[in-house]
Amino acid sequence: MAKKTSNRKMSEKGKKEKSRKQQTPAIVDHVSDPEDEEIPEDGAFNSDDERLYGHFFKKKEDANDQSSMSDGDAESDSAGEAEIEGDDDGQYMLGLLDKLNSTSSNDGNDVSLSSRMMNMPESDYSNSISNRSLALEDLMETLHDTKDFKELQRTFQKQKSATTAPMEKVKADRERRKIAYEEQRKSISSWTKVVQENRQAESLDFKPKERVEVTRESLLAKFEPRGDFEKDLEKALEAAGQEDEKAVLREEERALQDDLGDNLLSIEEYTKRRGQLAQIRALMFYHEQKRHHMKKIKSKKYRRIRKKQRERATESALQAAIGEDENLAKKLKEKEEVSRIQERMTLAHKNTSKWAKRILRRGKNVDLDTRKALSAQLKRGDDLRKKMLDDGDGSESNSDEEDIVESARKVLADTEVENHLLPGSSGLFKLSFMQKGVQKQRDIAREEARKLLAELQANEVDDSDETEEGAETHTGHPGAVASKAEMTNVLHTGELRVRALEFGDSNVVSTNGRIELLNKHHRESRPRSSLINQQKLNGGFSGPSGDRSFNIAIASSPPFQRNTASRASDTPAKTSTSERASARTINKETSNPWMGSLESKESLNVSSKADARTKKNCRGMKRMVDIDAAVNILDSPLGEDRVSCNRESNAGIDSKPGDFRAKQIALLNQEELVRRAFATQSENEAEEEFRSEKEKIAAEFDPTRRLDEDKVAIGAEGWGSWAGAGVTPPVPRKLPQNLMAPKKQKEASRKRKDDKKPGVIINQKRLKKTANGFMLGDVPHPFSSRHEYEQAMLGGVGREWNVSGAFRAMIRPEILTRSGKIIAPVSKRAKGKRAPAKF
Amino acid sequence: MTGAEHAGEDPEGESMIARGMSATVAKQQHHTLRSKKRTSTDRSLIAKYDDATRESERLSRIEKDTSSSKKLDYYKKRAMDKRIYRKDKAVKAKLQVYKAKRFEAAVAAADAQVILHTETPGMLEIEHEMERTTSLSQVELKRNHLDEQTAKQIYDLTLPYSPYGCKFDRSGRYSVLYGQRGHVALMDSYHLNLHTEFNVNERVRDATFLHNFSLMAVAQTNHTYIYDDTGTEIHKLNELSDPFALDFLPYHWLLAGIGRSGHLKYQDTSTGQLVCSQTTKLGPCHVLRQNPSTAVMHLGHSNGTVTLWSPACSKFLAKVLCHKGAPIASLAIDLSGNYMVTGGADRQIKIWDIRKFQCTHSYFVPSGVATSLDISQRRVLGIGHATHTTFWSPEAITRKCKEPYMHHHIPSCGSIDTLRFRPFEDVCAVGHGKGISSIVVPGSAEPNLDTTEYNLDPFQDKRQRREAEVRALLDKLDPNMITLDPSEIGGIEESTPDVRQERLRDKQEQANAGKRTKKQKAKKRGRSKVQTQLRRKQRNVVDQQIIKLREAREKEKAGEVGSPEVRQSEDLTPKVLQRFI
Repeated sequence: MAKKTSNRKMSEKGKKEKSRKQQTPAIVDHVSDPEDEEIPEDGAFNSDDERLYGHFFKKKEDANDQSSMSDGDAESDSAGEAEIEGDDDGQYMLGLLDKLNSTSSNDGNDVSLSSRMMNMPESDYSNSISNRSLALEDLMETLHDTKDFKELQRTFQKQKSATTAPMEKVKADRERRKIAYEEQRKSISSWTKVVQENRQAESLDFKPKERVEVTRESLLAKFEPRGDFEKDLEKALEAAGQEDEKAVLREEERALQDDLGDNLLSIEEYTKRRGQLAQIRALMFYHEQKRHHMKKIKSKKYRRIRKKQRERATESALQAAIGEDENLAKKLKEKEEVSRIQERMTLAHKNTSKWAKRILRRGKNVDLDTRKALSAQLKRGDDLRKKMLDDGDGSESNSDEEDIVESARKVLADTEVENHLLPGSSGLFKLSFMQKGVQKQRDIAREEARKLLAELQANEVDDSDETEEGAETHTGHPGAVASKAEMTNVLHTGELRVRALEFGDSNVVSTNGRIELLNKHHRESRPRSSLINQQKLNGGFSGPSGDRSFNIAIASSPPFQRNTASRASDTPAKTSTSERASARTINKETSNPWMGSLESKESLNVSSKADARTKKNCRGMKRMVDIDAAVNILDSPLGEDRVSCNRESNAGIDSKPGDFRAKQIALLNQEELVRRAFATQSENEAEEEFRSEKEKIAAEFDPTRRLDEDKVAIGAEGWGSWAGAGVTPPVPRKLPQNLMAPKKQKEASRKRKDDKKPGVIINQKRLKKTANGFMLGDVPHPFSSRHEYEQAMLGGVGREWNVSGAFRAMIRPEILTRSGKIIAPVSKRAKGKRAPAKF
Repeated sequence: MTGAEHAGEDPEGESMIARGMSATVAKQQHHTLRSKKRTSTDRSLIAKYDDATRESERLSRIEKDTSSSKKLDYYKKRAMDKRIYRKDKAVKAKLQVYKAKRFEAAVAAADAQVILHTETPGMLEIEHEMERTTSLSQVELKRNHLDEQTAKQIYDLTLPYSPYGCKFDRSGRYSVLYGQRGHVALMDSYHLNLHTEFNVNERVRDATFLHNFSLMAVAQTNHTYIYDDTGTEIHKLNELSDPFALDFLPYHWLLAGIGRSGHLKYQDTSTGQLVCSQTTKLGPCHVLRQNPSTAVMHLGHSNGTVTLWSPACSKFLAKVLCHKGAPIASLAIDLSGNYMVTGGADRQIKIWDIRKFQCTHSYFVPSGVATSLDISQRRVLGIGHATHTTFWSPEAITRKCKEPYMHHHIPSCGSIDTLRFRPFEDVCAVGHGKGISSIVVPGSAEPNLDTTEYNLDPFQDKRQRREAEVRALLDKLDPNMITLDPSEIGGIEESTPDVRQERLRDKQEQANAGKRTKKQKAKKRGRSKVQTQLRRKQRNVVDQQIIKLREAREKEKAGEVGSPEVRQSEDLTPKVLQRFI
């Protein structure tokens, strides 16, 4: 504020000058004030100041004009000023006045200055006193004749150097900053590393590390016994001379150096010591033994390998022995034979065993005994199979009837044989009445059997050729026959001529060649059948349906009935029996499902007069058999038991049919399942349906499909041209090539994921809810590719997927602080201490 | 304050900052960890926990998807290359760190497994070639080979309301036994105690536990009911009517059911809402199983197809023709969700790789249809067919095996209704016509518990159960998150032109969904016309001409009907029987 007031005074002075020049020196004195010097002249009163205080000056000017008119006022005013300025002595003031009067007349320089000032108009853009700098000499000139001028001059001369003005603060600060910046710039690069590290750091841990490490030494140093117990202990230790480690050591040393006999042992001590040592030695020995024993215990694998080695060794030894001695070889052979017999016994009734296969491979070159053994085995197998079949069959089935016949025959044959070698060898049976009784019973049984047989045979004759054949073939077992002798044994009522026998891999023996069975019934029936044959030949062909069903009958009967097929071709039409036969065979089918595959082959294998037609029939029949097979597929547990038994007869699974209730369930199921079997489609139909559905879905969900195409058929007939009767069809307009519309490129149909999978439809419609809610449309910001994003999102982060340490590492926050603790500012030298690795 | 001044303040460098793992350090560490010598078992263990190796296949597929460079022309390819190589440094560093951390975590998990997995699984093993594991009977097993606690698990329950079914809860501690004639029992399989039993006096077709043993849903004649562990009826679910099969999705809290109408319905058991109802259009369905890894529902139909469903889609996700022309009798999916096993009425059992929808191989069931199938935690395949149960070793799922692992026959029990493996215990429960049989199948179950998963601990107490319940609820998943490939969730949508087009269309639909179409005003003009009024008056008047016209029409009709009558009769025969005519 002081500056401003002085300025005002200066400008005031300028205006007053024309009236009162003598006052100026006094005012100049003020100008030399050091505070005023700081402001440059041109900046002293600028436009801003004038805007603020201009009005004030204008008023003052008016006032000055008035005061110039009334002199008295002005004088008093100036007197007042004089009083203020020069109050030390009036003499000085008077001198000044004189001086003024004299200079106003002669000093042109001053005049020019004042006149110049007068000429300068005072305006916003110019300052009246700003044109010339006011030097100190100018001011001093006026004083040179005053009393103390010399002294003053001297002091000024002394201070000449100090007169240079100091720099303004703002500028000085700017300079200082500039220099500091230059200096910093040199050293700033030393920060880059720290900053970069911090920026790149996974996380920054600002938690203070003030954990005090607790060591044993630090604890010991601080230890002071507190409490009664500790103090007592301390005392006791001191008494014992063991108050600290050093004391203990000292004690020990002293004990070692003691040679007054304290270290010597007494005899008791010695014996005691020896006892101890002996005990330890004994213990050690015991453990050694034990370990030795343990070492001998070996693993199973070890034993197995050892065993194999041993076996190999003995074998080689045996070979050597055989080379020397022939008797031994014989013995060995016998032994082998025995073992083979054993094997046979265990692996009875199958020709799938290794032994059986070998024999089969050898064919006819096998000796009689072996063949017998094999055939017996097969026979047993057949018997078992038959037994199985019989178990399941109803009493009305054909095979059952045949069995009765056979059993009756067997009973008869048995009794006849046994007639010759009656019992009576053993004790109780020696008695005559016992023998009589037995004989009587036997007779009764035989009689019954005979009757039954007669009755059944009569039935058979009445029945049909087909059944006869079934019966007769049942008596023979061509499949199980191996040798002629065996054959006669088995077929005591018939004769068999075999051209070639072929043993297959299965338990059924197939024959290649014609088998002709001749027995009484056959001979009887032969003319009859031929008669029918003739009749039919004369009467013409009966029709395919009957024939077909008959063939099924053949096909579905057990394999050993295969010869009937050949007979069937002899007598192609047996329409009279066809109905029943077919009914029966269906029964058979249900009861005996697993024959399906065999029989068709069998019927096709038949090499006889089987002409093309029979073959055709077979093929036609196959369809029917398929249905039956379908029935079989859905067989009930009852059937399943049987099959499983057949499959794994060795496993010894109980093959008996279940109790009555289970059977009932089974029957119910079967009925239901048969119904279901007919309700389902065939494979082809299912496939076809599936394919059509797939096509439909592919068309429906094709996004390239245009919606309007479905709705409107543009370009329909009649649009844009005349139509109706008698109108000539319009000639299609043809444009030159360059004007033709471009051909529409056919859009490739959308690729589907299930294109190459015929049995699969994959829905490719966009899952709207899932995609909108839980998936991203584009790769999110910091990631540049899908791959990067997927990598970042890979794997589980939570507790469920990681051990606790790894989990914590995964979710480590970017900044770690402890609340209430000061975060130390970053330090240049602070080396990053990495958190310890967590693994 | 300048930096220089500040540096002077900390001459000792005391303010040490732990900066975690930098990218370079991570890279080094990853390298050293990887190159460390390890035994093959360790390596395989680590690979099991390392997501990178596990999902590298998937990632490479994605990469192939995005940069199918064969079809691109030169400029596009160049642009693509640029895009690939212009990687953000910061992202790259972060990925590096994450990769290293994941590998570290995998190593740590592998180490932890060595310590935590105290039990090792084991199967039956033969001592010499002549032995067969199949020939080992349960009696022999019980007598000679099992410890006391396990031997206790071999037992038969003869129950009156047969045939019986059985299901376990997720921990394997409790089982619900349901007789089809109305008996429902809750059993503690650990102590072999009966917990609750009650009779609903109705036919019971299926039952399943909800999130834990305290609630179970029972499919009865008309409706599905929910009971608690004391046998109190809690809810009657009217929406799930005529149910045949039920299943519960534990992570989504959804009870799924299907029945006579062939509608697959999902009911949220936490809120009680019916989430969605989907029409299969394939008739009644008895076979319903969930894929434990994806929560997709698999339905087996009577036309031999299996359909896969999610609540997010009104149509099936996939449809597979498994057994041509033979109904699906049973179905099972392994725990990894990669393999599905189907049993058809054609007596075949087919193994499917669901990832490829491909039948890898099949087995023939020697006796009967496979009425029930189940795959244990360690992938032992159990087949119930007729009165037999056959078990196949885990290899039988991945490749064709010649012989089954075990076999058990229950004579005269009708056919087997359900076969279920017990979780975390080598036990298999078989429900059949006479009751329940429990047998031991060594090596079937996972020996070590995962205690981080909810409701999986068989020995949890009441408080733990409650806490697990709440936590499971908090972690409940949205039903729309069920997809064929669960790793899609949270990922980026496939970006083929077709998909983009579809997305656009969906967006349009969504935007237009709010707009209400202007309702057409139902007004008829000219109703009051004189002409119309007169016509109206004449409408019901029968005069000569009209009679004549009517007669003519009738005659025409009769003439027409004569010919198509034959056609119609043909049409009347059911489609399935048409081939016989």
